[in-house]
Amino acid sequence: MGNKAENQINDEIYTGVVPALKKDRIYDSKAITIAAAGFGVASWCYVQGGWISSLLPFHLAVIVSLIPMIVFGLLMMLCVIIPTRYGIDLWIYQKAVFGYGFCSILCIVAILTNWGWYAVNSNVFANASSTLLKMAGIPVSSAAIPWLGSLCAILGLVLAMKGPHLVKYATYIMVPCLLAVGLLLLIKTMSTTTLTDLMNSKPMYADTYPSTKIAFLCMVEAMFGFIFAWYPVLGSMSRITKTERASYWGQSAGYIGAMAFFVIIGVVSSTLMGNLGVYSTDPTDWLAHLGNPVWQAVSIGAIALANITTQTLGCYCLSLATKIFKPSWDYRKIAAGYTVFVIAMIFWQGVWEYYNVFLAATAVIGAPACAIIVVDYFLVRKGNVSLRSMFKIKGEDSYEYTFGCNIPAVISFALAVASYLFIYDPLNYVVRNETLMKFTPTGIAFVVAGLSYFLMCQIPAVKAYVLRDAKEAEVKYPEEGVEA
Amino acid sequence: MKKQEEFLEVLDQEIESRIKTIEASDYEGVPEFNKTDGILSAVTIVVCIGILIFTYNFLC
Repeated sequence: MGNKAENQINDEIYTGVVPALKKDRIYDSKAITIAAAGFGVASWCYVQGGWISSLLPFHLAVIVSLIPMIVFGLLMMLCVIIPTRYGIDLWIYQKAVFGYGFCSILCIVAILTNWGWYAVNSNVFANASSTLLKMAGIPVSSAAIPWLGSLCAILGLVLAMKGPHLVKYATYIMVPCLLAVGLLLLIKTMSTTTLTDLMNSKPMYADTYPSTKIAFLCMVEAMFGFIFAWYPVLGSMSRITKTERASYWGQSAGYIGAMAFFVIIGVVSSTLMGNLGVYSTDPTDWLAHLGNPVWQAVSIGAIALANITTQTLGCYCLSLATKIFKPSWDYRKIAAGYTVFVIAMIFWQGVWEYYNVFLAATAVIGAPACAIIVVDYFLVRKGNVSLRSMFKIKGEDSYEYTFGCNIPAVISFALAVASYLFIYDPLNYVVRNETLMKFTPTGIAFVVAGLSYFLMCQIPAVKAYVLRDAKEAEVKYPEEGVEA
Repeated sequence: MKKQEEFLEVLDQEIESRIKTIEASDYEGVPEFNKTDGILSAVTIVVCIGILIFTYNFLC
């Protein structure tokens, strides 16, 4: 192979769909934990924390900020074992789960929905930058805010163009700084109030729901949506992580632990501001009340930095996922196209208005998909897959199923979505079934999807339909304790 | 166009070569996610579900 072709292939390992072998892995447990934390920690944590604290008493808000994320976070993270094991993006594997056609549809919907998070981040980056400029004596008009937000998207694109190696070293510096600033912010905020005052504060919008119990369930549901928002990007960093254990626990620590910490900071800060009569999900509003200009500048600067890191990784992961449609597409052109898309969303400002609907959309897509993936790989296929059919090597196309759709998987997905909407109307904040609401719509959707798919695959004819790849060369993973 | 076709052909060959390597068990000796990890994860999830149930019934 000539040098140029070799360089192109090497490029495709990190910005394409070429399976990553052991020698290509760059993330060990420390690196993947830091990268996941760098990806997860952004102003969306503060926004979520601020929203929760406006609806729940302090002690419930803190519990809701952490516990629901652990429950479905650890279940969702089972999905990352697959890309780590085979060095492929999770979207490549989902061709086996859903069929070539339905996988593509799911990919488009999940990715386009996911970009809403980056519009939220960019808006907060814009507000943070505007505050910093005003502190420096440079006035900024409200018309300039979307342009500042676009700067975050563009900076993320520029860094994402360099690939995961640069991101890895950048997060080594940024993430410890972010965590330190977050910890200091928490200490600073707690020093200006008492735990008793926080516990006694009344949520500003406590009357939104008919009871605290309903509000609690709805916020648990919101946190489930928050964690399932990671579904579209689970594969990109996992495929270049060295070991499965590092991939699972490292990303759990980053996406669950680090994020929950910053959501709690959002809860504390927003509750404190609520006691002062100020409600805002924008952390720059909270930090403006800290009093010390130097501390304000440092904290606001940290928010801006966190958002750029997140934008970079989001751009990288979502652009990489898109290459399942056509591997020959230029990763950098895809990334640039998505940046234009997110800039359009920034100017639209609609994500703020429909935040709850947007969260519901991520939950209703991510929860059933993850449930079906986990059941499919671990219980139905038991780890026996055909990489040749996933990549359609030499005409192998076992995952064509019926017009590109794995019918049992599609039925399970549809049942899960129907069950979600049967229980809860996210458009109007209406609980439709109070009994099932106790288990949350996302919880029910997850169970319905996984259970229905598993039960259907116990029928011999259905099992034969789903496991049509069994006739091909199988990738058998060495059993524990057995020499390969 | 011809260059892109050549590139795609090389890409396909590379992917096929790597699949063969993976099928030949590229992952000897790599600590896999095993039963201990699964049990630890399951216990954590169950405890957290218990906390949520307790919170809903007694703290709300």
